[in-house]
Amino acid sequence: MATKQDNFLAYYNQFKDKIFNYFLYRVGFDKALAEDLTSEVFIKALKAFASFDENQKFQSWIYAIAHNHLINHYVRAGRTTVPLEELEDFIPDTNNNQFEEKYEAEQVLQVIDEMAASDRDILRFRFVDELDYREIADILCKEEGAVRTQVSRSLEKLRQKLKKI
Amino acid sequence: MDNLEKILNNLPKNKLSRRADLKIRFQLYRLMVFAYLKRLFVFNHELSFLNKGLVAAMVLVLIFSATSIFAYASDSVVPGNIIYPLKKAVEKIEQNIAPNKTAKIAAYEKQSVRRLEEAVNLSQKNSSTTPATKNVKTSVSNNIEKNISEVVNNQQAVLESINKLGDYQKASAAALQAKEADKAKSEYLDKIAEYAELSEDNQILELVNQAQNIINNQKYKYQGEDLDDEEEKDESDGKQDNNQDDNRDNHRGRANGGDQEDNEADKRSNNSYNKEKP
Repeated sequence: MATKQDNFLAYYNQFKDKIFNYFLYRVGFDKALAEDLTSEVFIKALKAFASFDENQKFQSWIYAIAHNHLINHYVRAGRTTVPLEELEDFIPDTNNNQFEEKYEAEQVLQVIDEMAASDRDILRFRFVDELDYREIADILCKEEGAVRTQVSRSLEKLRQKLKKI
Repeated sequence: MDNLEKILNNLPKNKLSRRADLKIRFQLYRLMVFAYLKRLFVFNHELSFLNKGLVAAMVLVLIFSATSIFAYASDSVVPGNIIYPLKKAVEKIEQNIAPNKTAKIAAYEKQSVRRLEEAVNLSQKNSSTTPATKNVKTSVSNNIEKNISEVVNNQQAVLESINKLGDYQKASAAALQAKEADKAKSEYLDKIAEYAELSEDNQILELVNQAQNIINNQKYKYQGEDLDDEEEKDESDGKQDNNQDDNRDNHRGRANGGDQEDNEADKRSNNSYNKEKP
């Protein structure tokens, strides 16, 4: 019979890369910092795991912890955005049209980083973390419909900003 | 940029490095082990009422067991001591769970030796007590008497058990062990007699004499047949006669203040021996 601790390790294996990516995109692609924050989040989650309701989705729970931890990190660091210094190294060369695609991806990420915090967060949740509307609503404590509308609006804002470039 | 959603959906996804993964795992395992140990050993608020009761019961059992072991093993736990009944209870259990008659005989002998050790301790205490504490003295004397009486009763029980062992060789071996124990008992009785003389307790001296007579003249038999071989018997008879004479002379002489004649003492001790002989 699997113990609760075994369950936690299974969850860790499932979500370690996702949480790492969550932080990586939000701390200017600083891998060392993203690893530290990932570690802190899983330790926090393990300590609070006794209070985790098994009927709830673990993904929503761990992302909520990560989101709050990131806010605390920003408060400690004294800023909400970071320069995208390591962006060029981060985006890999994938195919023949590598240069064009890489350039476009860099542009998109830079524009997202310059957007308002609410737009930035919601676009990252939807496209970087690949969360569905329900999960985003749970993390941000909003209605699913409101999240759906906001994603659509933020996407439109991003499109407009990119057109201006 | 028409393909915006495609670009967003194809954003690269990095993996946690192996090194970072191992580091995090190590920290998680460490926390899990600490949490497990804490649950095992720390009496924290998360324990339910039932668990608290269980832990309290375990602590009580532990204290009781430790006290019983101490009482059983210690010579300083003598009659009158608060945990002495515990010592007797453990001895009773030891006797009851003895797997066979030979073990039961060994248990009787062990108990007898212990009673005499206790009696020696009590006698020492008795001889050093000032006359002002007469009540204490009487109580200690009573306890010594009880212990010596128990030894005499055990002697009889051992004799009967050997007689019913059901195997000559086993009976012979048991008799040999009993004789060894008898030597130790005899030494303890001598010590008790010395202390009784110091405290001028004639009643205990009399009792010691009787016990010495019984122990020194004990004949171990198996179904009516004497278990001593002839040579040993001759030797031990000679030694016993001498010892008996010495003991009787010494103890009676001390008890009666040296007023009685040697011949009279011999006659009395012979009469006493004939009465006590099982």
